[in-house]
Amino acid sequence: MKDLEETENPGIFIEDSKWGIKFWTKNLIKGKKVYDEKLINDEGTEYREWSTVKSKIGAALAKNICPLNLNEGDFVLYLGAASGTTVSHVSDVIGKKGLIFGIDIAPRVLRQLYFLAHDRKNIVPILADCNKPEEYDYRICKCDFLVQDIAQKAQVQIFLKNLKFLKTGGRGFLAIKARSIDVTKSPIKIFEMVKRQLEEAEVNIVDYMDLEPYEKDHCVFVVEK
Amino acid sequence: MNKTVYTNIFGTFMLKGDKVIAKKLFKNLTDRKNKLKYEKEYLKKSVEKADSDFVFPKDKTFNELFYKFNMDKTKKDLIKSVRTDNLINQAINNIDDLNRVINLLSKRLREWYSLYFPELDLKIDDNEAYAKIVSTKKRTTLEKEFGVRTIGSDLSTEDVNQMKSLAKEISNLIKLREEEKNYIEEIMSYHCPNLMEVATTTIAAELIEHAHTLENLAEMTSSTIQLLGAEKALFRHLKNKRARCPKHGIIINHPFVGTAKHKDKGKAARHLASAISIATKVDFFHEGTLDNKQGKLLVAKLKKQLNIK
Ligand SMILES: C[S@@+](CC[C@H](N)C(=O)[O-])C[C@H]1O[C@@H](n2cnc3c(N)ncnc32)[C@H](O)[C@@H]1O
Repeated sequence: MKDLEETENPGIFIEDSKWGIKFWTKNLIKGKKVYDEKLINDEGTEYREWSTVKSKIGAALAKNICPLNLNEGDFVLYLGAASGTTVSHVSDVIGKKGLIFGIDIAPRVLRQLYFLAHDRKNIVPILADCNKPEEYDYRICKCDFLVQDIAQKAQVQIFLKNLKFLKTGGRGFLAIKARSIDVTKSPIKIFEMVKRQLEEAEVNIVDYMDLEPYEKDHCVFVVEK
Repeated sequence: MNKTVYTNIFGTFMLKGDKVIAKKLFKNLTDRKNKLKYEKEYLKKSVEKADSDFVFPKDKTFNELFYKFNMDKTKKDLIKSVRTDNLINQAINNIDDLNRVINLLSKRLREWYSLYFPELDLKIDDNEAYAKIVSTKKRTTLEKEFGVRTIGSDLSTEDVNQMKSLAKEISNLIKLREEEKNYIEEIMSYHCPNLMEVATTTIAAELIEHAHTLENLAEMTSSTIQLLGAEKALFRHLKNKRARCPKHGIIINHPFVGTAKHKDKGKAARHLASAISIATKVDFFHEGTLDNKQGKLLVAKLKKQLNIK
């Protein structure tokens, strides 16, 4: 029997044991793992451990990021969905009434996301380039929560382009990989530059942080529209 | 509040705010091509104009339609997504795998067979020839051929047969590697004949593999192509100017660069990269049927530039 407590983020549970802090979500599809995460049973409910090293939201939670404002029944737009590691936890949180549009440009990972969506019918996999919203705008709708995790030089511009899909009052989670923007500059300089770019675009930054020691040279921003 | 008309992947809607007040759901993905007709019907009915604010109500049925139509579309897109480039990339990577596996197994075979006839390892360097001899010839025959009396142990037929089985598998893998090389040559001869002519088959395939697609390669500058495959060294150089800037990546294995004198390697790499860049553009942007004429001309020009007979 574990001591799981719901965090300020509904649907995300924390376990504070002598081995450290772990995060869990209720498994939407009982008995099935998505990656190599641990499953536990607590009073009849099955939970999946949210990896802090394979998922940037997982790492940000461990670093005590501000509330995400992600709720059951939400619509979510996820840019850079890959094979669905993080997507699966968001899928747990929003539950059967929610919907998560997972976009990725690479067929190799999207095939896996497609199979995952067979089980989890709140995941909508879309093969597209996030830099070209006009190619998928008719396939999605405005969302309550926006996530972006793509290793691209134009990361910030892509995020700004896709902000139009976020509802007013909704929050966005942006993960930045410094090396993809410029390998020669120091990560800290790049994070400052990104912050300035967001501010110039009049994006309201609620919180930001680097992800050490979970991810090297990465930082994340939570913004609100 | 104004009424607006909005079309998404599964239907055309008359909306008021985010409330649907009328809808026409598509029968399937292709029905969407009639959207103008459906939109017109609504536009007649005192609706302001088409609008795309992307607001949409949450509703179980609509969620299911978002899911279903997008799954259908994604399935089609995935089926369409495989290109010649993907096939080339898998095959060239597999040749790499085979090289490693063949080397690994050959080392084992040499050690294993040396218990029985160690003289062969000294006489035969080539792995292909070694495997072939082990699988087809008897030790007594070999002793005669090489004129030696072995210092290997006498082993049972059963023991030796196991070595022969391994040797046969190695020969098969070598055959498979040849087949894959021919296969790559075959598909590249219509996909990128000029690139292949200039760069040679293996290097052409490796360049595509590195750039992921012929399209990406066609969009690269010749100085990027010159350094393709030397990213690690380039990265070291960018981070620390004292680290030397690399002169070439994958193309170092090209005979024109490989055989050039040390001081001429940089020049050879530069000219070769420029020819590769032109050939790739010809292959990617061509219209109609494609041959390797341009590639042949580029090679002739290169030979002149580099004084190669
Ligand atoms: C670091 S991975 C995302 C991992 C994922 N967020 C998770 O935690 O499970 C980055 C992904 O972004 C995708 N990507 C890169 N550029 C993209 C673009 N322009 N449009 C869509 N996806 C892109 C890549 O294919 C890759 O799968």
